[in-house]
Amino acid sequence: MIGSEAIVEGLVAWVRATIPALTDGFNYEPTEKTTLPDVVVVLDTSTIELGDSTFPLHAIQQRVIQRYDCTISLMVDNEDPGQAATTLRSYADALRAELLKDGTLGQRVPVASPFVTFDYTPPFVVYPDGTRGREMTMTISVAEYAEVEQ
Amino acid sequence: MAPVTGAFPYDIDNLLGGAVRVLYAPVTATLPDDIADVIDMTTPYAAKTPWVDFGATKESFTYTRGFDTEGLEIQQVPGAILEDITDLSRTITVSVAELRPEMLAIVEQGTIATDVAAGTGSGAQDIVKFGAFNSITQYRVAWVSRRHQGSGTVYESASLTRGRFFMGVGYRCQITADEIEYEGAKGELTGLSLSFKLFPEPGQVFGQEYGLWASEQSKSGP
Repeated sequence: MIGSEAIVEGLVAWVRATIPALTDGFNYEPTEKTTLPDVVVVLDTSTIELGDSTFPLHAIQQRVIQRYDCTISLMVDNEDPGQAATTLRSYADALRAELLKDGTLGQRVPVASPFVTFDYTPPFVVYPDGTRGREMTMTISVAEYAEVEQ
Repeated sequence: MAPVTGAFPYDIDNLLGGAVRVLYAPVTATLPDDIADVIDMTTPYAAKTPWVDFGATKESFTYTRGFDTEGLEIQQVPGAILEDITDLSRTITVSVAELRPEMLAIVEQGTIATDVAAGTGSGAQDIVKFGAFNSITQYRVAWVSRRHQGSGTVYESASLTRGRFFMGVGYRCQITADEIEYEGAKGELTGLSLSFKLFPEPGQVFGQEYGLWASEQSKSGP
């Protein structure tokens, strides 16, 4: 198993490779930011399951699925709200296209589900250090096989 | 672990569940006497030559044993007073998910042909040719499970203790006439449900000629 840390690191690397304009990347939720645009990847939940609708092509009898549900947050400067919205939409399009083209995210993870959600709901975010930005989040599930020694 | 006694006694050492590892070998392979003749009993549990893993399976593995009877009746009482066994059948079903040339050759009773070489921008190709067949190849087939560690353990090394292995073997198995469906569906893993019928091994003792079950016992430290 490649494990949680490698999954999160792989997602950060994949997003930064897909969107070269990003100037920073975090594998944790930072309390302050120095430059925008950036990406933050947070591991929300990690579960073991027999195989479900998210990874139907990997539900074999011999292994269970170790599933990682992650949130990818992309933040851009909101000085020009219109430009910020356009930029975030272009980021989403780029990430979606790359994911559908290669479910291993460039061999960075064993398998990523194509069933992702982009959420533009947060109008803007203010960090404790005063950083303000427009945020878009992408929820994605990544999986790897695990052997159960009962 | 000792049996739990009382009005409803039970012994969890005898429980079994979980996925199954299925292997096959040609009928020219030496008849296995126990699990160690099919796989190594220590990690990484490699298959013994000439046994080959079926690999990933999509659906559950099934073993079925059945027989038919015909009752002998007399005029004086209703119903049969004796039964003769008129048919006996044992079958296994493997949901093959690894579409390898060897698997396809078994499914189709086909022939693995010469590979097509890689070209510019394309990989080499495995070719399996199939057609009409008049006879069916037989195989030895083994299915190996591992019991939960709560049902007893086997000490392999200072760093590894595992559950006990449990195995069934069919000495001579050949694919049945059941239809095999290859279905490619969006969002669904393709699996070929491959059924085998068990046949007796020539030269074996009557009553022991179809196969065997083997259950590994617990083993403590070195």
